[in-house]
Amino acid sequence: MILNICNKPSIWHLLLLLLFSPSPAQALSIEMATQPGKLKYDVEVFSVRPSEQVRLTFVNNDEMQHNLLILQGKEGITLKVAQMAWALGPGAVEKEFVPDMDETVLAHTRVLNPGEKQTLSFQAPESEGKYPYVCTLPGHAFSMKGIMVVTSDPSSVTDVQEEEKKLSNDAFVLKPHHKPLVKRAFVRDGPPRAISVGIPGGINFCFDAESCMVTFGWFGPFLDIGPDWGRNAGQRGGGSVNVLGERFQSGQTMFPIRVGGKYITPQVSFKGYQLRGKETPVFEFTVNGAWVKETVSASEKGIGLTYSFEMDPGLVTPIFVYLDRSNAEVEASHGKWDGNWLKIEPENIASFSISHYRQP
Amino acid sequence: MRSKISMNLKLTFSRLSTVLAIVCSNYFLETSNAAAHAPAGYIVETLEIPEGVTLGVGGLAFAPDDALFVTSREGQVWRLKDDEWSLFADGLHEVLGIYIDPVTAEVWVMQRPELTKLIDEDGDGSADVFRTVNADWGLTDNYHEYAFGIVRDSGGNFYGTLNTSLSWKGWAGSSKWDVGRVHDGKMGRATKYRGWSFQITPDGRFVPWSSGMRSPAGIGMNRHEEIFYTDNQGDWNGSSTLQHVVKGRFHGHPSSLMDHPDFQGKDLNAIPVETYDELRTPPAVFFIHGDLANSPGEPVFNETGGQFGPFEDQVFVGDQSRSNLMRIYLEKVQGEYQGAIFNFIDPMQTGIVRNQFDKNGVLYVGQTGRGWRSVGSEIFGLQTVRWDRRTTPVEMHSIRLTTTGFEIRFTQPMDETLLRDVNQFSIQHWKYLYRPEYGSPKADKTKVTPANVKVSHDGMRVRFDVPLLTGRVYEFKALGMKSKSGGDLTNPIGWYTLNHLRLNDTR
Repeated sequence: MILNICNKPSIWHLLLLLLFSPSPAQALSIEMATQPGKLKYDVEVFSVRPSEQVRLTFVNNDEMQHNLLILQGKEGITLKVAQMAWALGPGAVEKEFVPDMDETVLAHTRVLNPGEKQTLSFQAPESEGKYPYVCTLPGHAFSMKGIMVVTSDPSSVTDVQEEEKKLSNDAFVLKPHHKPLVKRAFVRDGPPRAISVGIPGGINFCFDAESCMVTFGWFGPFLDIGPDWGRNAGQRGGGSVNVLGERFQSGQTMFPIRVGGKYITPQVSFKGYQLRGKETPVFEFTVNGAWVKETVSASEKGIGLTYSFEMDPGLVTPIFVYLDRSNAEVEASHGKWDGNWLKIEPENIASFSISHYRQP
Repeated sequence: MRSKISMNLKLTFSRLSTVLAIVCSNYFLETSNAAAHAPAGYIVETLEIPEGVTLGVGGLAFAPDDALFVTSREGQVWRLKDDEWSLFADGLHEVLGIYIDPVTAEVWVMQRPELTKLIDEDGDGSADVFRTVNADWGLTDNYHEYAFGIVRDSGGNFYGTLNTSLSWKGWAGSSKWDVGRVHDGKMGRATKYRGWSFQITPDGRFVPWSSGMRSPAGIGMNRHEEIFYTDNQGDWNGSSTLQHVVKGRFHGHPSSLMDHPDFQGKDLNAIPVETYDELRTPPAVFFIHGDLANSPGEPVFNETGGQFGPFEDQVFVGDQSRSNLMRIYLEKVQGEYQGAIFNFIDPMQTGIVRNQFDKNGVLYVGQTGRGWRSVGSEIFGLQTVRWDRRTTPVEMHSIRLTTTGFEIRFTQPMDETLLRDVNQFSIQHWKYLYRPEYGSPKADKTKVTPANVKVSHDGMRVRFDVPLLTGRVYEFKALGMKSKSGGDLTNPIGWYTLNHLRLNDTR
């Protein structure tokens, strides 16, 4: 929404300020909150005059942590900065999810817990233009962002995020806000028996219920299901849904598990899945008769996925797990790597996991 | 809120704030609905759909607690109980069928890629375990590879049908699915078992059941556990049909024979049309393309013990593009089903694909109009048809084959003078050509005049002789016919599909 047409008291205040007190000595007050549960700021565009003194209060009225960074840079800088923040790893919290990019980050809040607020006081840049702002908590940057427009003519500011808005208002875009979403439909360049899963935070993946493997992942928004549903009465639907983010490799370039030896052809049979509320679903299948439960979650190390397997602890031989390690980092809870093969000893078969990710 | 009438009733709805939100529902009445041309005594009502929900109906079933489950093309399963809707399952792949065990209340759904059992393990009212029962048929990303179903017999076996692939590049937009087209038909078989009906055994095995289907959009089973399906007009289907499914049967569309053990290694294009014609079992009943139906859906048997009026044991089928409800009378002649079809209610609010009777004999009609420019004011919806349990409509009840002609039975005594007048009946017959081309004209139309007209003592039946030819559809038009009390026939045309002659008449 555009700030200067909002009807909240603080914004009326701002309007009055703009209309009646153009004195540069008076700081411009802006109050920003979230659209609870939607991973969005409630103000997605606002305007300031060049060099104007700004007091921006960010109120975290959501149920999860957020921050706010005002940036300098081209379109796309929001995601770049957010990825740098995510890559801070365990040190991220200490640094308030703010990467060391002094020239890019003009101002920022700390990480605000639900119910907290913080006021930033800063001078707007001298040069006119668009300055994006973003929340850099993991995954939020895909939707939680906006633009500060520096202009000497605030009335000229229009809704520059029309496209973005269209996407978020599109009834055919599935949005996993509070819990993972599962959607079965054909996926563009995916398998026919695809099960797409969107995890809140912007990591998504496609599981093939025929080959029982994760065919690819993507980060960004989840799915546009318009081609499956048909967008209007004239469309038959049944088409391949659109993956909205940027694809990444799952590492599962073939069905990963071998029971009894690396070169024993796996016979797989999909058995279904279980939803677990806020947790990602559990897929179940058999390989050469052995029952497997696989949970796929977002990697905490970078952009990628963590595969957690549970298998029948009664197996007496080691199993081998294949994962393509090229162009990715991997981390396994158990086992020994030999090239792309991970050997898991029988005592660890009951529960083991492998992360496959890359640094942003 | 979807209609003017509902606003008059001042229905209030809670908002669908989460996917699990429960909203109120109400019926409203459309008495003397001018748009729906219904026989006297039949009342059409429209159910409210939760606000904001797209419910292109794909399946209907009642649970033992009388809750109605509605599955959708959009991949959801909704439950309607005591006028409240709740979402039972979401995120499925185009659910075109559902079966609920009448004792245990277990729920199975037919998704495009698999037969799935839906289990509400934590008891919160929505499914959390999605157990794959079988997925042994082939599936590509061809939009036309529908999976329809499901019915279950007393042995616990499920039955469903698999659409052929849209293979002709001119319509499919790509040649990637161009496999198995025979004699330049439009539909093919891009992957295994397209065009087959199947059985899935209680232990989850896939058994190919009958072949030769084109677009088998509906399957139904009667109380004798005989299975019927409807097929849609197109290549190898001169007009839409109702067919009796028997294991091993070939229904006429040859692409499916690629998966038939007797045709392995054979070039289906080297086999002449005449051979396929000899192999196929002719349809029990033709729907009359253009006049009556273009894309029929689920056939449901009226086994309501008279709760749905005088048409007990007849089949009710809706049409997805013309949005009308039809009625079929079946009889066995020389051991095979054939019979007569009549219009019933025309039109309803949008394309009809699914029908189920509740325990009170109310017919629930599931609708989706998307994709084929259906007649009607809505794009999706649910309507009910109930009989007022008083009024006897003025209709042809049935058309029966005799050894020398036909006997038409009416629902009430007719004007005997009119009934005896041969000029009151306009009768002609034609054949639908069995051929790879798309559809068929009414070929070799022949007018006939009835002879030896005999009227029963009660004035409810008339029989007459006409020359009988097999492989043809007989049309009986009685536009001026009136009941004894002066009422017009609501649907004055009947069509009889004659495959077999009656050798002796015991009646």
